[in-house]
Amino acid sequence: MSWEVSSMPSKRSFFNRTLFRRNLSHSWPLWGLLSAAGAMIPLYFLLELLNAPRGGRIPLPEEFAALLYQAVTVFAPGFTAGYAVLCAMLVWGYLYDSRSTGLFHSLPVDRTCLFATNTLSGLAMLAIPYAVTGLLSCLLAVCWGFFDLTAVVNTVLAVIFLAVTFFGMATLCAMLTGNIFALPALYLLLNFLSPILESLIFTMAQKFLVGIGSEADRFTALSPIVQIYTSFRTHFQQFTPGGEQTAALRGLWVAALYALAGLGMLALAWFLYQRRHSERAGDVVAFRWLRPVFRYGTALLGGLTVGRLIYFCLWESLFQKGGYADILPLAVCVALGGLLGYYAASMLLEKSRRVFRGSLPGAGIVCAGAAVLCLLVSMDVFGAERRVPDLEDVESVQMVDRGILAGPFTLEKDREQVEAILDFHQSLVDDRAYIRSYEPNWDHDEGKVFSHYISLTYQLADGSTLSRQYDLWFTAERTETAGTYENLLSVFYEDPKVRRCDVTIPEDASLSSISISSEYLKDGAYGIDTSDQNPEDAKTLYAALLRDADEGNVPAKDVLGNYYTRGTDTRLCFNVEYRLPIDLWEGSWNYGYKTVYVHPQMQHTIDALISLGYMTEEDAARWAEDYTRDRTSEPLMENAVVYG
Amino acid sequence: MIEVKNVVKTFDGFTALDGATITVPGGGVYGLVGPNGAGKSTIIRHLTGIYRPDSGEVLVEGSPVYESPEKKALIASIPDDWYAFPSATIADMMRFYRGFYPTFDMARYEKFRSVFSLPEKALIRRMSKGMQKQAAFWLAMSCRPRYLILDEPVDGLDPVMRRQVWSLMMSDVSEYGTTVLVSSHNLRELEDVCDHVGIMNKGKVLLERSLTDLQENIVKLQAVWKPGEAPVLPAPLEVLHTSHVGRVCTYIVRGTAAAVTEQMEQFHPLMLEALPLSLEEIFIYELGGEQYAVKEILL
Repeated sequence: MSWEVSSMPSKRSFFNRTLFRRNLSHSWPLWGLLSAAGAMIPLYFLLELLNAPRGGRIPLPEEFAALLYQAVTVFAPGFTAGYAVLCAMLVWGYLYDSRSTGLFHSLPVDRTCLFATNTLSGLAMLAIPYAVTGLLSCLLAVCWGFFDLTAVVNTVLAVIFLAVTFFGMATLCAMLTGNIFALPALYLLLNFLSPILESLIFTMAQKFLVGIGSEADRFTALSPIVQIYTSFRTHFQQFTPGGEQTAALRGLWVAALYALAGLGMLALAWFLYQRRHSERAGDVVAFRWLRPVFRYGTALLGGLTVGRLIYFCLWESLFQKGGYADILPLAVCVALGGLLGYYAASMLLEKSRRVFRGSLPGAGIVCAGAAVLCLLVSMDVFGAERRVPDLEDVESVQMVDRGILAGPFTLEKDREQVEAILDFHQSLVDDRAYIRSYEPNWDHDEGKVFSHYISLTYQLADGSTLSRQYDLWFTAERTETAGTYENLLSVFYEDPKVRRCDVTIPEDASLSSISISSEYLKDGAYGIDTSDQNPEDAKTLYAALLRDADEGNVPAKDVLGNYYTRGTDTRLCFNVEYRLPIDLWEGSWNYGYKTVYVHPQMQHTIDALISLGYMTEEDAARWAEDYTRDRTSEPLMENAVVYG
Repeated sequence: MIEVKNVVKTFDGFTALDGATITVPGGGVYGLVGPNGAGKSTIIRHLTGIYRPDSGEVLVEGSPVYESPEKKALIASIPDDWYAFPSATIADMMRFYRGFYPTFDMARYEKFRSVFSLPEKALIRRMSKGMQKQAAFWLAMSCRPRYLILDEPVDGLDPVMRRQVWSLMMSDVSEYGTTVLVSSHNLRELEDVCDHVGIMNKGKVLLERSLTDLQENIVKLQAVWKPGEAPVLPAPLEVLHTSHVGRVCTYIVRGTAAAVTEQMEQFHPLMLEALPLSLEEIFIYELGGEQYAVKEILL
């Protein structure tokens, strides 16, 4: 035997066929099962196509394209996200056991080769079920003549992008963790960390600050699965003016961007793998510098979740007055939750329950962190509570009061209304101390205070959105006092343009139909839909509504009224359906609805109902009489009951 | 040749290797001995490229072994906790090893089939510890390694198979010049096969010599003195251990048998005899000076 021959320096290899084959053969039950499940789809369509001569229909290439696009936009992101982490667990599983780590790292290959081969194996595992399903589907499409090459290319690209994104992320998680159970936990957390953390922080801010909402959509870009589901869309138009069907995939570039990020994560994972110590197998985290991140990160999550829960159980429901938090008890509870998280993380890191000795400095940091967090949020250091945009920065604004939409008002066309809303918003900011402290005394205030949940949403000139939500109490006394938020809103509702807005559909929408519901309709019919009668009737009725609006017959909303207390017996309600010319989803038009409650002073509308034969003159007179007599909500219902 | 130079390795503050240095000459058998926790397995994991040293160097034929496929291709190892895939048979593992080791010798693998007589198609995880060890030898030796690194290699093997395995390794050493580094607690067995010995304790290599040198440099003297005349031995004699049974005194003294006997003769013992020490005795008395003496426990 000649050693010289066997020990000749070999060319550096980045791929090991044996390892690749072993990875795939080891995991075949998983990808085999998924491929078989995927093959059922073309098989089902094959049976349908074979049935075509007996009444079935051969699809068009556009329908095939739409089907592929729906598969990649609706099914593929979730499936790939879940399956990618399983593939990562299979190929990187050896890193989590000291014996298997020993075997792999003593083999005559370097880590770059191991990394490249395992990455390719994982991506191959991910691709096989898609490839089987896709190839069979394409074969079917070619045989029956509904193949669409563009759709296939787009679909293949989308699948590759998704696979790279999620496998890259799972691989990065695999390199950061040292325990097989920590990998999916970290992967899940990273996928949803930004909305979770944002939501938790905003929920806490709501406890101190007036007007802060809890929506968590500012940083969704950091959450691939959420962002991909938000941006990745099928555009399928079945009823185009030309009579042709079209199918398109929207947001492929978003998936491409995430795939680039996935490649970045793979590169980072490779970099970390070069530095990863084999002896970390079995630890929760694979790097020493990650230990404080894990410890204090868990403490933060513990403080924001468990701490809030403790506060709710022990303080909010028992001692707190009003809807806003008491800072000291909340800080104590957040610190308690943080400590629970801190010690739980320490136990996982040390793999021991004996973590208390010498932990005082860390525990001190957690408590101080909780106090600082509560203090910073309560002091509104970022000025979120005080922020009112400048008039020139606003592009449009809409307001929803008790579920009723006003607007959107654009600066270009509705400058006065935008100004009025900004004044109202400023008054809310000025009155925030009153809003925070006011609590009705139900012994005296029963029937004298009215709650409003008001949401303001601004589209700003820089493309961003600003939204604020307020839980408010309205009293008659303050409504009559100039400059209060109650007074400003009341004045705003008196604006004829705002009143007109209450009955009109969006400018770019086209009227579809109007359904009318009342107990005063002709022949005792409780409900009538114009589309069942004469579609032209909808236009007549809507024109009458507009005339009433133009002549000021539509009453203003009463801020001291309660729309929900009117008895249903005397309601005369229009449900105006309209169609929006926006992106279509899954082959159907996008419809909107506006509910209009008719008031007896809207004479043109009543006349139209009579002339169209939906009401008799006697019924209309009886309704107007009963409506005025209806005392269910008196004295609150003297004014308008119109909303939509 | 394998060289470990001043290697330090710590695990979360615990120093497993504290400046360990060994030199394993090529073409022989090197025995690495030491008490539990001395750092033997840690040093072996460095030699096989699993661990990266915090400081120091681990060299095989002059260049670092860590992340060097060329150097690792020269080494086959059988760790104490040898790993086979949970669903693997010996044939599967053979294909796996063959895909990585360019020197894997299929003819040798076939030849060893009759030596080990193991069920090739049975799952390795279902085999006994001894059978798994045999499988590990079968595969490792089929790789035709230039360096064979073994951690407790014959632990779990029956006496016949132990002898068989040692015989195979010795024939590789003599025929192909294979270098064997073996860590074991079975000093009796090592004594029969080792050319060189390194003794480790607390992450350090206490001494490292050829077995002959080691045995020549420490001697067991048995002396009989007249009643009540046992002398206090003078300082130049480095006595590692003294014991008395009746009138017979036994001394473990550092030095060659001739020199130590000559010095002892000056005290006129009734009888004096120099005996060679076994490796086990050398191990015990060398470590006795490192506060690792056998404690006399009374129960």
